[in-house]
Amino acid sequence: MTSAAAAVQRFRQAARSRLRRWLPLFLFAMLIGTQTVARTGDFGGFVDSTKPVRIDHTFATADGYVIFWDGIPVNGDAMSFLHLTRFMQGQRGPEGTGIYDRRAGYSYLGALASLLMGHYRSFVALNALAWLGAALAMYWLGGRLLDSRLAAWTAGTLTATGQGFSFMVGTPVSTLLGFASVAMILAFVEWSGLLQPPFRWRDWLHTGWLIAAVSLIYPVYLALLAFLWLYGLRQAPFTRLLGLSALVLGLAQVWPLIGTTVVGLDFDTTNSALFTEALNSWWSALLRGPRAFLNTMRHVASAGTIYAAFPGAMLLAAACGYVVAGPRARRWALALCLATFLASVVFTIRFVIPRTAFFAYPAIYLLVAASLNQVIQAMTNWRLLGRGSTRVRGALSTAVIMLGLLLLVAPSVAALVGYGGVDASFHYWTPSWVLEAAG
Amino acid sequence: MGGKAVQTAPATWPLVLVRSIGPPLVAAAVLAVARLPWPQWAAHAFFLVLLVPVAILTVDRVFGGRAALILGIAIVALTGWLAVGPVPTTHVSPLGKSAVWVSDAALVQHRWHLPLRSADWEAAWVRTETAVVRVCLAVSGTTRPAGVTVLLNGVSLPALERERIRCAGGPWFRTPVTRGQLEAAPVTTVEIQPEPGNHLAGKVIWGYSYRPTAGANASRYFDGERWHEVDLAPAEAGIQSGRYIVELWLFDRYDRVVMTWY
Repeated sequence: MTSAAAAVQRFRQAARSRLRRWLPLFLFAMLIGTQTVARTGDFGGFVDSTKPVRIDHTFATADGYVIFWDGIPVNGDAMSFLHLTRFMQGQRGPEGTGIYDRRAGYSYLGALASLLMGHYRSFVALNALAWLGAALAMYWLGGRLLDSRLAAWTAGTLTATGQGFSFMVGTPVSTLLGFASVAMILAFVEWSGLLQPPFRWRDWLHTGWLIAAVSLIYPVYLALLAFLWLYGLRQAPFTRLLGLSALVLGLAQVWPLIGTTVVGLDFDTTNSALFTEALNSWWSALLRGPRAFLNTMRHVASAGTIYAAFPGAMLLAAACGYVVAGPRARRWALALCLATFLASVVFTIRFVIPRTAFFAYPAIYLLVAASLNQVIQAMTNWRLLGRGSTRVRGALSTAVIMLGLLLLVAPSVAALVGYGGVDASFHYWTPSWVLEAAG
Repeated sequence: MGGKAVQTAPATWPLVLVRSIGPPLVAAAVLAVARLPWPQWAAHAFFLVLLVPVAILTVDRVFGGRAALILGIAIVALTGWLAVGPVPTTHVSPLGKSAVWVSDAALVQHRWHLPLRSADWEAAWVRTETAVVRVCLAVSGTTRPAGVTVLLNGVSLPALERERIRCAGGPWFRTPVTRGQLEAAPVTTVEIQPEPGNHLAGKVIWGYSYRPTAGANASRYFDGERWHEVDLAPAEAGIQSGRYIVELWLFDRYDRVVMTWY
């Protein structure tokens, strides 16, 4: 081989390697960018679904529960974040900022980012970036936990088209950042080898600090803690788990303390009261006796929090994935499902809000990836893809995967083509038993 | 798959920590020099201590020192900009402002351009059990808004019933309307005015208009002498543009919302 040919080959290999490394970033960015543009303003899931005709309420005007920022409709909840952002930018005082003072980390980021492109667009850009981060984290986790490039692509693509992200991306509230932080922290836990020897304290302190930082954005840090206990208890030292939990719970209280005493924020606890109310409802159901408690459980089970968060086909594929996944991935997914669904089930007695169950998406998408992976493997082993060349078999595998993904993500992208029913269910599922009772 | 992007040797930890803590400290100092109000500085300092270093630390460990350095510089630069430069403003359109009737002859008017004979219209009426005109009024106390009359295309509607639910700025009120009344004219005009001698009975709520069926000037105000097309609350200082909250709501037999127009 001549030196010129060798150089060309080296260049090709380097280009292929670089493309392979950057392709997920490029493709997910395209996918997410397109959806973000399509889901802003009136087309945002968290805006459109608040219209009275979508979720059947009579308190707001026909426009829905919206406020207009420079003429752009945004969900009314976003005002609290704008108040906080304006406070951080010196445009107003700390009084009366609303019910999201605990989640002021999002407004802090918005206060910096909005210098570049204004309030609304910067919040949407932050959301889109976080979504991209989650998709890449899931791509990495899929490859790591299932040891398959195909699983990595499936998990990443499902995240890049995820209903919760698509629903929230056009709304300046911290929920999407909360969704994204789950995947990113789980990836960090896996990357740092936190739950494997030698259990270095510095990794535990770093992870604890990260999870505490999430408490400044969304209260999902409790579910992350629960996951670490459920998944890590068998392998990690008790002292590490205890230390990390103490660090997280301690740091999570610093902002409310400093925010009220030094900064002067009100820390309106209206939203926190709803959680207390839900817990009280469960307690009173328990006190009414086993029959009443089981009846409540039946109502909660039929409420649809989980199956409105994920399409039925997705849950079915995840169930199949649970059967075929390896023991480690299975334990990981089960721990995450338990940790994240717990909060939504507690809440369900008070509100049926499927987005609280969407925090389980890393587990569901990973199991779906395992399921699709198995389908392709089975087809290859059974020679269902024919006896053609490797290239033909590869093309057929890709076609099967694409078809499977298309079926799975179809409901979540339905709103992009003008069907808002899925968004409405995702926002506030109205269970059949409620309608029957009202009727 | 699954390999670590960058492995940081334990020996570099002090350096990594310095890289993580340095930029936030510089940013906090910049804010202190800029003499920000104390509450604002305290809030920024908190996030610069608790949120920013862990973000830089994580980026440093996962993606390497160069990425962390870029993030650190970006934080310092943006914080400096926030301290000294212009900050963006966002106009939040009003909702829940009220317009008072200035005299007995004053009235507020809102027009609907309903999609009569369209497929949407026909489909909505298949499910509809009741149709109501809903109006958002600011009234004192818990009494019904006695003294306020609603006219639809010049015909007086039954007295407004107060709902339990509050709208922006006041309670909702409703009065029934029939399909025949709505289809009597291509453009439906709703007028609300006080009964003689009772023009202080309440105020009509107005807000920013997103997509009124009759266009941007769907609402207007008559002060007894002339019409105000743009200013919805002439008694207030400045121009108050938008639309009155006067809406048509259709409900099915379970009292679920079928359709709304305004």
